[in-house]
Amino acid sequence: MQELGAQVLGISCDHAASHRAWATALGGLPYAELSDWEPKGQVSRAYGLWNAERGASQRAVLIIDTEGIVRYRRTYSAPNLPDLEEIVRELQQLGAPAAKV
Amino acid sequence: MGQSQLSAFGVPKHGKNCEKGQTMTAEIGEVAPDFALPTANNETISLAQFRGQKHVILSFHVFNFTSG
Repeated sequence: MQELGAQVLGISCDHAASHRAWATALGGLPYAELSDWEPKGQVSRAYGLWNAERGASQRAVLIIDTEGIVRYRRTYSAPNLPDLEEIVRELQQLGAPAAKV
Repeated sequence: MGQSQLSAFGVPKHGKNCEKGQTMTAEIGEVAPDFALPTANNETISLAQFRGQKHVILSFHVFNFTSG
């Protein structure tokens, strides 16, 4: 997984994160949990993933390439979890980024 | 996972769920909006810090994710 050159950033509007199943679905990738809490949902809004009615972000997975371009975007409804194989295929198509020191 | 399950949920259209004046929606092929957010360890991680180095997988969760 490391060879794919990808960093997983989990973003949640919940300051008390309990997303074990979701994180497990993305298992094997380096993972950092971020809080979209101050101000609430700011990043989710910027990504068009804010659900105003529920006051929460949609479940979604995006892949941003090394140039900062969105290459993959998928939203999920409960109880669906991310398809890791599909995400890995997408990363393989992007190819490992050139190592920079 | 079936595509129909995914598409049934619907992807928000441009600006639909955004506050007025916000038009960034990060569709495929667009530049992803940068951000800097705190981790549980009070570190700050930004999207920009991975530029030119790593692909980034952004995983958005819902507010009350009860199955996990």
